[in-house]
Amino acid sequence: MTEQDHFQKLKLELRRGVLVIAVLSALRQEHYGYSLRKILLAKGLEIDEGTLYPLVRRLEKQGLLQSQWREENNRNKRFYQLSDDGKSILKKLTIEWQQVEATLNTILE
Amino acid sequence: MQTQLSMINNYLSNLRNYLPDDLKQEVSAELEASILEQIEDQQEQLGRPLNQSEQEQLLRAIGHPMRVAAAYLPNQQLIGKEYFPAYKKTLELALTIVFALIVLFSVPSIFSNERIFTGVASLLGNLADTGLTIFAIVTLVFYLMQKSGVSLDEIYAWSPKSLSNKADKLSLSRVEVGFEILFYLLFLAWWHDAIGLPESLQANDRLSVLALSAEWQQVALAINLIIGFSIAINIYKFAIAGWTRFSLVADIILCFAALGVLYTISQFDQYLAINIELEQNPDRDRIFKNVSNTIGYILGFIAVVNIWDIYSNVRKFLRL
Repeated sequence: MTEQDHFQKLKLELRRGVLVIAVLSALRQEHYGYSLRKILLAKGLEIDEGTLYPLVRRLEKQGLLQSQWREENNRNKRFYQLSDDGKSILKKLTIEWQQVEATLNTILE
Repeated sequence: MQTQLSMINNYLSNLRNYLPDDLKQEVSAELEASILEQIEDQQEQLGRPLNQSEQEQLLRAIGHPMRVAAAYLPNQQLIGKEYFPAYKKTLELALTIVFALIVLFSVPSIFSNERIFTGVASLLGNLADTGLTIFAIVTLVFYLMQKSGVSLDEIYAWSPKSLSNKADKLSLSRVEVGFEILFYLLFLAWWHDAIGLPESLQANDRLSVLALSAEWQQVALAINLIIGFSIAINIYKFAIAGWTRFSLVADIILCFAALGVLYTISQFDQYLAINIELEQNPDRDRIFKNVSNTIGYILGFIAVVNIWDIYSNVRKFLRL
């Protein structure tokens, strides 16, 4: 395995952990799958459908998101938004993330 | 356009095929909306419709329908990583016990069989067959335990007080030990056959023009014991997949015993017995000398291997 392969693998592991926070955070506003992907991409987080859509579905199953099918531009789409449980979890995760970031920055300095 | 739409429809129908019934429609509809909107976005940027190759590229970027569908399924591992250590240990234990029992119970029937090599081949087939069955059963049991959510705390129930002291060991490949056991079994089969040859000489068997001399009977028991203990030690090494102080010492003792037997053999007046047919052959002395020399070389080689084993085992012992 080359250095680049190692880097890609570690980068993927690193991103996997923060992906949930990014998705929950983006879904404070209502989005359907593709619009969520676009907004994350616009903010610098590229994520493929094969990862994003199952993740969103899993979060919905865990009760952190709520969803509804609605027609928009003559097309049926499933819109997702943060549930009350999701809001509470996001709040806790955000605090946790900020602590991790601060700790890590101290270590990296 | 029709071809392009049918390509997307085919992609979605494949995806549905890999999904469970309760997810088929929802997942497919969600992905279809996403694909069509991506196509629209790209067409708007390019100012023209996407051609077939560009649509193909878009579908390729999403991934193989089987992989996409797999991401929606809850359990993607036959045995999850949390259950795996217990699964592996159980499998090792079950295989070791069953293999040891099979070898133990097969030895008498192998040696009572007229064709010993057939007996050994049947033993190997039996081992492979039973091994696969054990593998399937243990895997199935752990899969069901995982699926029914058997608590990991129950599987890994432990107490620091009940932990026993484990002997240090150096890792060892089970494949290597397996080959060693196989080698000893084949040798034992050959030896059992060869030591019986003087009787067949009397029957003037054409295949046994030369046979081991009667002097070999002096070391027959010692050789049987050394090989028998070697197989037992190797089964132990196979079970723990490593060297311990005990197995190293036992191995060293067996090597010294083997050297003692080799020394005794080197004192024989003659290694071989000759039958009547060869007795009348004018090249008798040359054949006899050549074969005796070859046996001498083989014995020398075995002695060198044993000395090397002693040296290497002492080094391993010092590392532990």
